Amino acid sequence: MSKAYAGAAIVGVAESDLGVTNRSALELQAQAVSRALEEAGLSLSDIDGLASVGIPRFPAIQAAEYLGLHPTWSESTFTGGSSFEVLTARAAQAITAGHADTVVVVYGSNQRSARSRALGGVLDPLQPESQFDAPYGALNPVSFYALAAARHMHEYGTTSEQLAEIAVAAREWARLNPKAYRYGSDALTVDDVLASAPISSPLHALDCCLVTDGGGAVVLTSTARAKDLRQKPVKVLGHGERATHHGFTQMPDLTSTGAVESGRAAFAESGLKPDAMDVVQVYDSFTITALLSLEALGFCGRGEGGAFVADGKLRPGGSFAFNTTGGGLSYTHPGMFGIFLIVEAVRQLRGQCGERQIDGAETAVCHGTGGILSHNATLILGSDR
Amino acid sequence: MTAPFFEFPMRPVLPITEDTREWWDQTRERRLTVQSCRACRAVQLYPRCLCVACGSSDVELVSASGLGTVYSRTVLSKSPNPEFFVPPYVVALVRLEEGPVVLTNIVGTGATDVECDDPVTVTWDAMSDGRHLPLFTPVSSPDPSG
Repeated sequence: MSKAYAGAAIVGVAESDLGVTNRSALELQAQAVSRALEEAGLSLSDIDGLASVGIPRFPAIQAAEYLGLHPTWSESTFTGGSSFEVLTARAAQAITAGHADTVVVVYGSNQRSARSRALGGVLDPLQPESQFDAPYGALNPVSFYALAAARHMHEYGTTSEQLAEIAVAAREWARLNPKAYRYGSDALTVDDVLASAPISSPLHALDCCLVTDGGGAVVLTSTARAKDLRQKPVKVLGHGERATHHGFTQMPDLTSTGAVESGRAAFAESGLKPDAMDVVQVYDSFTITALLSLEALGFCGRGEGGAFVADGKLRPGGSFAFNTTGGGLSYTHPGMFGIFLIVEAVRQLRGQCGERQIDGAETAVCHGTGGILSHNATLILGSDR
Repeated sequence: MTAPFFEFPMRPVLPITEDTREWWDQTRERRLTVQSCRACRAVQLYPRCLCVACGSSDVELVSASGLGTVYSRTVLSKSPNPEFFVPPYVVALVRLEEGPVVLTNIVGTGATDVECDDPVTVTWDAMSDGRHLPLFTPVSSPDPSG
């Protein structure tokens, strides 16, 4: 394990209300923070560091004000949906270095209730994409992920049926997770996914994540303090990140993401290999996002993702403990999913996941993807043995 | 079959920045250019004030052949703006003969049937301010802009 994080532990995690909440983003953040502090046995007055992204302009400062905090350490590195893997690593580093004692990483979005999701995405006029990409009517982000999927199919023979299996497995897990948006929904079949509305070929509606409200919080403190708290501490063992592009024309290779390097760095720091991971939580904004990450992280070879998932090993009871919440596809996806990867991984490492618990889980990888495969961040977590 | 793009309503005027003005000016004459570095000869798009291969600011626009191949393509069944983009239509990444990759629409006969690695050639869509927007068409199909 890297010394950079050795002095810190994750001691509290929580979601806010999820789904359609009719609450504000700040209210959802406050809910998540309160719940995470409560389970940790800490209070607001213990927090001296706050990390958040999502709310425009001053995300950490805005959240701090709402919570009545005056933090002496703030972080808002914005890398899209992968931000929370980055912020959690930064928080663990800061605590280990003595720059902060107790940090909360928080996210909240009410994009479902607010109906604020724009099909074409949001661009600033000064971004190069506003001149060179926007005029072509891509759905942002789905068309870009579709372009990656189409190229993957062309190069490796990956099929829509194989991608659909990722959505089918996600639904199976969601049916075991009372907090999942699709809890109580019928099981999916590969044919259901293929028969769902075509959006941007080869992706269908059921290849795409949910649009929900939701928030999450992760509380970290020093290992010394963590010993006296309510939850079994979870350690950060490694982290890696890689930015490859902002606009899609600048992506170096459509079928190989920055997860190759972020994963390599994270696994190297942890001293563990991919096959040592008991639990795998991977950003699944689209089915192709998960498939590309599985390959890039080294769980299978390049181009082998389709065959890797096709045998059903991602489903509950399968040989590969993957997105045990139901993921962004069937559990929740409030604009950015990265914090929920960590919330679930921590619960798995504590053994608190009930019906969906992976027996004896001691190691987990959380892999976040930001933008249009633009940024990848990998976080390796372990139970504190 | 995709509706011919030139039948769509005029697109909104796109922004221009100082480092892209000359590139856009070339499109007034329907000339496709790429940016080339005089120091290391690397070629890039979009136009920038420096070469991303070597950092030199000695960059110039040079003519592109207008030929390329489809790096990837997606047929849209849903539109972010139905006033301008009527499904089904094709969004593609095209790798120009000179190397850079551009986002574009594939238009003309056979557009929705185009596959990865198929050859395509540039065609132009007029903008209201005299600039033109580069689109691409399968090489086997007639140029829809005549």
